[in-house]
Amino acid sequence: MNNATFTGKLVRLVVMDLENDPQLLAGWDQDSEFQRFFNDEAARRNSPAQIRKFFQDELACMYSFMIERLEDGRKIGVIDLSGVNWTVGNAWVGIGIGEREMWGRGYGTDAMRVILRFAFEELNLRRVTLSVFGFNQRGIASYQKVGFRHEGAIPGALLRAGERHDLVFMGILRREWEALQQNGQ
Amino acid sequence: MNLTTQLFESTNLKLDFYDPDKDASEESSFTYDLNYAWLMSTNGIARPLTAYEIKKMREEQLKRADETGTKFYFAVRRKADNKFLGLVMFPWISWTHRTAAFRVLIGGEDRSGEILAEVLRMALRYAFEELNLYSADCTTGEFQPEYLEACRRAGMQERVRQREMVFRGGRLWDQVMMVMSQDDWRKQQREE
Repeated sequence: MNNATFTGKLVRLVVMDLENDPQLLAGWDQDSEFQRFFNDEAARRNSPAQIRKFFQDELACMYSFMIERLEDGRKIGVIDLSGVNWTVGNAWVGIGIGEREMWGRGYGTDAMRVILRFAFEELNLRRVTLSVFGFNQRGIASYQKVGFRHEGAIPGALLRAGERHDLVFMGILRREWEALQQNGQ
Repeated sequence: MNLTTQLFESTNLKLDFYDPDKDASEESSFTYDLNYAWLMSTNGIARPLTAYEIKKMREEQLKRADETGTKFYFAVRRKADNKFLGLVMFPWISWTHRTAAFRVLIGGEDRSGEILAEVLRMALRYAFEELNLYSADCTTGEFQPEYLEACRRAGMQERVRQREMVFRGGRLWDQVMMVMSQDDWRKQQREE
């Protein structure tokens, strides 16, 4: 199988197995900390059937992948491009590493590098955008590492456990990404 | 500001219910102004819309607003003659975080900075005095200079600048998120 486009140094991106992956995603949702990093909505428990229905409905308008470790083929997270505006060439990226023992080990950063390559070299996008919660410093550091730049924040837009946190916006332009590739990143 | 303050009236304007049967055709004529159409779009692509498309879209939005209680739509009318000028929309509110994105659409020859600022202040008053939001934001950019200036005059601050996020008039523009918090609103009220 030639999927070099979707293969990084630590992970590869694979399309979702709608039969089995919703069970995995439902299991990750049991970890409310994961949900609170991944989503600004109130944490909840979705059944595999609800998750399957969501992806069946949405897959046509998003590019969604499971993140699979190269070393053992284990699926550890999910990443997607959505909300594509073809006029301006922008998409929003979202990522979550569901297996908490995999946090902070570079898998998310590698997956982000892979999806940016797909976004710029195959989809011909001009920029990729994300929002991240101010308390997710590990995520922000990872996004900066692959070239995302801070574009501002809505102060205190998130209320979690009685404390207000900023909603941070970041973006990367294709020319910035290309410059990083020339510099060997 | 107290309980007797009329939330749906300002000096020259009022917030009214939107009437798809009557207002959609007027709104259709506004969409030839692509600044208006851009603010209506959900995908960032501005184009003129038929009265049929707008009526269908607004009817669906009003139905969803009734069903969910998390969306609010108002027609903006001139008090003097009841003329339809545009809308104030709160299409997305997070009750968990008490935040909202809102939009002010004013069309036709009434799209002046003064009118925009007056509508924005009514929208912000509703956001903070009635919905009790922590903060409210709206999205614009230098391609809509009168809108951006009206936001500043209403007391909103630029918090996010997404580079080259909008394509209008043959070039790329930054998309700007203007934000106001309830604390800033109260401070402004005390100072006035």
